[in-house]
Amino acid sequence: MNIRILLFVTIVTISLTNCSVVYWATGRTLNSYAQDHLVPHYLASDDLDAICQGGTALGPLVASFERAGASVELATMVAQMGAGVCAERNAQEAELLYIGAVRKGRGDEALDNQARQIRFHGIAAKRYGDSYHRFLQHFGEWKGKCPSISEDEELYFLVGLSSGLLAILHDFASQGHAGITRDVPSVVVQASKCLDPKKWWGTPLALEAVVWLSVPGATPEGKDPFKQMEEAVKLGDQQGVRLARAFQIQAVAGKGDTEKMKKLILEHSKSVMQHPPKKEYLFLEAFAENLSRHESDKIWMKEKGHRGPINFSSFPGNKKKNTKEEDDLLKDL
Amino acid sequence: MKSFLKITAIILVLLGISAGNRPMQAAETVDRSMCVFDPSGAHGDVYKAAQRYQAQALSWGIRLDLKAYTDEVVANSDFKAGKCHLAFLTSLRVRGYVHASGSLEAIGALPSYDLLHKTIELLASPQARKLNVDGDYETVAMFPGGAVYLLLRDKNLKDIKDLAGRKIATLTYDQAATTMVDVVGASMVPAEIATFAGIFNNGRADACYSPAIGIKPLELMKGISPNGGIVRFPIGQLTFQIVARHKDFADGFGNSSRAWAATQFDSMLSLTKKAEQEIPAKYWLEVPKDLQKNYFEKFREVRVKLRDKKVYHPAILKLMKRVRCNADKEAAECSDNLE
Repeated sequence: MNIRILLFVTIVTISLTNCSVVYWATGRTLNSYAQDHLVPHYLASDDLDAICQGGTALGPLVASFERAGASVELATMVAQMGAGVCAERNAQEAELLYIGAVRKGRGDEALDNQARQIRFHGIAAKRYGDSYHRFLQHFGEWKGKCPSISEDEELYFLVGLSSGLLAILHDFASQGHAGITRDVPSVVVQASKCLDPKKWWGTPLALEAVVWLSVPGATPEGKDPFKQMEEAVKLGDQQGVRLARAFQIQAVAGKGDTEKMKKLILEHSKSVMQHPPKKEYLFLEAFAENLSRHESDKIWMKEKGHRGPINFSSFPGNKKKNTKEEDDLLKDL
Repeated sequence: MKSFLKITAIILVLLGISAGNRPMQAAETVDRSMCVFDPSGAHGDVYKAAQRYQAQALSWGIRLDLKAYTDEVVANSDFKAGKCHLAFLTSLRVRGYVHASGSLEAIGALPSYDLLHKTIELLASPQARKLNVDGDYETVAMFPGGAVYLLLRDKNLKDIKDLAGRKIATLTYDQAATTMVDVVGASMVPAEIATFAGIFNNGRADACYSPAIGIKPLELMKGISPNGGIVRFPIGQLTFQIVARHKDFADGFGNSSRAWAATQFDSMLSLTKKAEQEIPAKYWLEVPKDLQKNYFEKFREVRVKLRDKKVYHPAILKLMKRVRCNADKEAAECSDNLE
């Protein structure tokens, strides 16, 4: 009997050990597969829904391999960023419905949608925050000096910083629901200097400028965030990866200057027509376009009660008054 | 040219009209109908765009019934017979109702989308109303449909003078194209919409013309490869227009509608621009400034001929010349009065 029990315990122990090894190996494989193939595949897709739902669904599975001892930070970081996009889109939808309800004078509906919007911002902040947390796990807590980053990892560094910034912006919008640590903006500002702005489509410059524009008193003396943002946007446009535009729109949206927003959105629409996007980074393009489209839709919803054109190329009521030049051109015809 | 208007219709997006100066309340909503030409019928992009217009029109107090037509001739004759209040047609058909706005596509008159945009904006101005009204009819919307380009089997023919004696696949009923072939001293290979691509691809013609949007679906790359190219100098600008019987609508409807339609220019052009971007750079033949002059002169000759034959409306040619000269005051044509 004792021998049988011993045999049973031995078999179970061996099996469990083997399983752990298998899980660990699977985790490692998954992580390297994600880095080599899944993330590039994600980035080359402009299907925001597929990516965000993929991130929401697969994120927990990928993250669970951590329990088996595998390091899956980078894969989880990207998955959680995708998941954050889902919540962000839900917040955008709720915001549009809120604006529509205000326009129609439906108080209950407006308040309900506003509440939904705040909750979704909270979820987005948590997911982006988790993504940022994985970034810190992988690259180490920020200690004022750039960590050693291999060339392959630079993109992940950029994604991590972007997630951090998005986390704090959504946390502000959710009334601090996600409790994102308030040192994120200063880490983003400092760490963005570790990347070459020209190589990464102006995004590091945009990250820095958006913090300056979002955090009162953060702009160092002699710096002009708007000018820096313009520079970043120009670099992004030239290379067909307009992530800098997304951050520019985020920053200006908070300032309540509708005319400026209209101008920026129209410029974005024009740029998309003029400079084709870089195929390897369509996701970032789609993300940026989604933001401009949302800001355009907000203006349309407020003024007309419905969304605007899909390529955000016009606004209501911007009919030009006839100028003298036009009068001259039409004279005596 | 006519055929290409049809070809482009496949991809064109169309938006519409708004309703009068006086916004109507729900109780005042009026019922109207629009004949919509789309080669793919109710499944096509044009029809879908017309549905977006339908939604837009509702908010202006017009409940619109859409009728899809795959044949523009039938759409046109139904509108003429009064079976619909509005028609969404190519400018070539609209020319039969409103001579001036229907001449917007005049050959070589607007070599860039910016110039076309400016002209459409000017025509949308209330002072330009008389150019949009002709008898019982009024053009209430103008949308870009894409530029038409010359396609060559041999890229060495890129100067228009080199086309003398060459064969060009030409739609026999396209008066502008036949006149053009005549003026450059080329010979015509009679073609139909269904046949011109095959004629060009098989080498029975040295050149043909098409908007960028038709190049992939019609596999015109076969004819261009390996030695040919696409001359980057628009032969003409296709437009889609909405024509109405003005007695059926409130005063000021046309002005509001045209002004709104003019704001849709960029979104209407996005598919065309995408198609142009998708053409590999190696196929585009850039025309040096001095050779551009040759193109321009030949095109002008054709425009003047067609104006004298009363095909093109003189006022619209004059307006387009002013637009060109406004953009380039130094151009030689600005000091003469031919148009």
